[in-house]
Amino acid sequence: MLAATLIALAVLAPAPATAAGTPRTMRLTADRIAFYYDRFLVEADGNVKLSTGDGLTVTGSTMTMDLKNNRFMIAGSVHVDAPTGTQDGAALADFMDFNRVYFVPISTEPDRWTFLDGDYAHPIKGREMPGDTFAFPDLTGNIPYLYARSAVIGEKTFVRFGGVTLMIGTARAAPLPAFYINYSDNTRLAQNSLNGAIYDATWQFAGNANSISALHFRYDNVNKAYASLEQHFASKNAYAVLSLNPLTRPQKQYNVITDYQPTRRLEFHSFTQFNALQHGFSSPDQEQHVTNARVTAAFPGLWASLTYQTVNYCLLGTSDRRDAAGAVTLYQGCGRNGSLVGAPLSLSHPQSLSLDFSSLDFPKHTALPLKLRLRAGIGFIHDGCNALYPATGACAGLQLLGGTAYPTIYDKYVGASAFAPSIKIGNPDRPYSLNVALDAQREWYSVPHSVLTADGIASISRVYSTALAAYASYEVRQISDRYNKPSDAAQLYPVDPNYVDPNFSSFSAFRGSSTLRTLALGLSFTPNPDLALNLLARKHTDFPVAVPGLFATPPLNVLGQYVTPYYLGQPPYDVTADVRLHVLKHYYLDVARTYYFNFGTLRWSPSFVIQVTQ
Amino acid sequence: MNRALMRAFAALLVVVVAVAADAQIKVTAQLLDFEKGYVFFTNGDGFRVAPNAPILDYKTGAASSARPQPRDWARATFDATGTVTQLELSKAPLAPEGDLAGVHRFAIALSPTVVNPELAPVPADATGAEARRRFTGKPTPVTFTVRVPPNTPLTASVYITTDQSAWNPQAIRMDRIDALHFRVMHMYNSGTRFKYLYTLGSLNTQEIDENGLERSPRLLLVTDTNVLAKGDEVYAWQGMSPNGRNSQPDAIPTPYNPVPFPNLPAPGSIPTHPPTGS
Repeated sequence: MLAATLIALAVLAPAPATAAGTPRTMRLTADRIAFYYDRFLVEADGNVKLSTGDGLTVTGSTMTMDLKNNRFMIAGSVHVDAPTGTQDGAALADFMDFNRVYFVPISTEPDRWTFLDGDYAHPIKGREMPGDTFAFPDLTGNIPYLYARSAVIGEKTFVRFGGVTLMIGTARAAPLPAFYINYSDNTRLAQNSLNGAIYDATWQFAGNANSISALHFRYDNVNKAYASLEQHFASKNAYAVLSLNPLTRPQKQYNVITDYQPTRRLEFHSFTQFNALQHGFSSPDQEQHVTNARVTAAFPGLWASLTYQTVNYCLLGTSDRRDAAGAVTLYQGCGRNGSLVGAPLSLSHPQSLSLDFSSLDFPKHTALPLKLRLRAGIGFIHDGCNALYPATGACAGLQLLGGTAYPTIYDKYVGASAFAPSIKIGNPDRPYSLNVALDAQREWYSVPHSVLTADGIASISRVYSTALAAYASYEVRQISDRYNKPSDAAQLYPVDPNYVDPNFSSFSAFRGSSTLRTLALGLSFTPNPDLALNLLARKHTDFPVAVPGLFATPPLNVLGQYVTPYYLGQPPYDVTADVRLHVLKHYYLDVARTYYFNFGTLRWSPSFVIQVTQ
Repeated sequence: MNRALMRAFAALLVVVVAVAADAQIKVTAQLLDFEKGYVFFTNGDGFRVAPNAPILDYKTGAASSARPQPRDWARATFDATGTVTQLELSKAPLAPEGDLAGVHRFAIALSPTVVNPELAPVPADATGAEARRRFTGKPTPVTFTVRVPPNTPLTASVYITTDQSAWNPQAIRMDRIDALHFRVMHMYNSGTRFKYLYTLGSLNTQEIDENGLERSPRLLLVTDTNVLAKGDEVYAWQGMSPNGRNSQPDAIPTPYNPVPFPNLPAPGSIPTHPPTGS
């Protein structure tokens, strides 16, 4: 259903109306149109015909248009058809930002005319023109991104090519019926709702000033090669992104992101995802849903954000046991025909609501070398069936502690950040820079416990040249989960007979408080814009001490990176090397990998992290 | 006597030929158009072409069968009257030769030149007239240095996205230079004007404003200086809530878990002996 909606929206995306005072939409045809993506140049040759959208139709031998500078020039046997008449000439240039059209007409003899503000009936004859009015760009060494036969150009916003041949380097890669490119300075049309990927080739096959329809051809470590569909809508202060990702794999995500900023002090943002196990577009075997909605308001000196999230783990039928009142008493399955698919999941529509406040940095405009930012918030989470009674398998709310089920947990927190602007030390011409930042937060729950998180980081760095910089940093991060009742703490952090094994002496002393200390040495070497090398070496001195195989390894994202930067059991030593290369005219290659110095059986990170970007 | 006259005539002929040869002016330029007996250069000037003026190939000097086209390069030979008497064509750019401004006096124009007040120089430090400022277009190194919020992971990558890259969120990758700063240097021609934002690699993680709302792109105008340093500050990243609870589009639905150590070993799952090599 959503897919059908996406496709319908893609096809029916409305074209913007053209009216006086609004950006023009121009239509260009030629024997050959080349587009230089890195310079946003449209170069047309042979039987060029351009309708400018404000009444001018110009034909000629060749045309150059600088999309970013919003100007074009047509030359060679030019014929101009204006509302006021026709005229032949050698060249015509339109500086659209300035409402100036410069023309070299040929009647009995050549001349120079300038049209001001769209008044084609009254040329200013003989007026001096800017020196580069009729200049062609130097394209030596530049390779077109594509060739086309036609183009629709939305002034300062988009260009949509027709009859396209896409290029990879100097090779003709693929013929396409259309290719859309947005070059607006409005970021809203560029928002996306897809995961990261090792490689993403995007075909924007339709679009206008307010919409883009795109097919993505992607590769990542989890899904391998697959396709995705994405539809964007945007206006001056709002956007919506809909996507189906992956389109060609059974585990599909239907995403919708919306954002609306009615004033400069208020923003509505939402994210909705349907996660389906669905072969093709058949009836799903399993489907889940999450919606996250946020309202953010800015006030003098602070901002507030109200966030609501709801989850439905089982949009399809179940075969759970229920009591006479219809309440779930025993979870059995979630999926088509009540069959068990995957691990047990809550059926009680978990929800959360939080109200967060954050101050702006203060004090401002003082010589004090310290800035502060405060934060606070309240909220609750409700989940009737996250935990199960061990004996019966019946739902026990969000958390089962000391025999008490907590279906709703309320929380409140306060926190503060402080940082010092860079402090220069040593030789003023090539100083060392000292940076310090501190952060602390305490969060209290209606389940009788609180979590204290404190983080401090300091670094000393030096920039040796434009190509070389190095730094050393030391970070201490402490997380302390404190339960009011010893019996509760014993349940969460129990003393297991195995824990007192001398091999796990550190973990045997763990009662919910951890300290992660990280000494890092970083080196950045960028000899030229086409090559960048980064090295990061770290030593972790943590409590509890990392023991191979003791702590679960955090999950990896589709790029092969750990999803969380802090976790118990980090290998004591790691070195990460990252290389970024400019491999083709429009492509960069990023390769990174981490070495763990034989921590248990772990030598290298699970895979190279590779990304190809344009 | 006759021999003396003959010698004098020959000497006069040599002088005339020499003077005539000196009167020839040659300039190289890119062509804008060639039609109706005129050739136009890309400075907009049009010149009369002699009806029998030969069209030659610049490299070989042989007669060219190609008609002069816009974008072609040519060496034009002017006679003393300002008429083009020969064109030598090249598809490749030609090295500057002759004084192009010097032949402007030969340009044909029906109307007398009128001063354009809009072309009057604008002082470089003038305000409110950025669009009319003059720039040399010389390559200028621009160094971006950004201070990131302290909760930016040490392993994070920071990028610059620009309207010049169609808001590709990974357009320019920056290098970490200390715990709180990233830096990158890029070359831009002076006069370049673009908008940009910092990201963590996607627009879902772009920087947000100090007031918690989506921020407007920053603006950079590359001026004519030897080096340009741009220092910025990111207050927060989109998707990172103040208390660290994050909801990302790529997250599988997961309930909020109040336990701060999600990867503790389950009781009974602990190996009794650690693997070797620890």
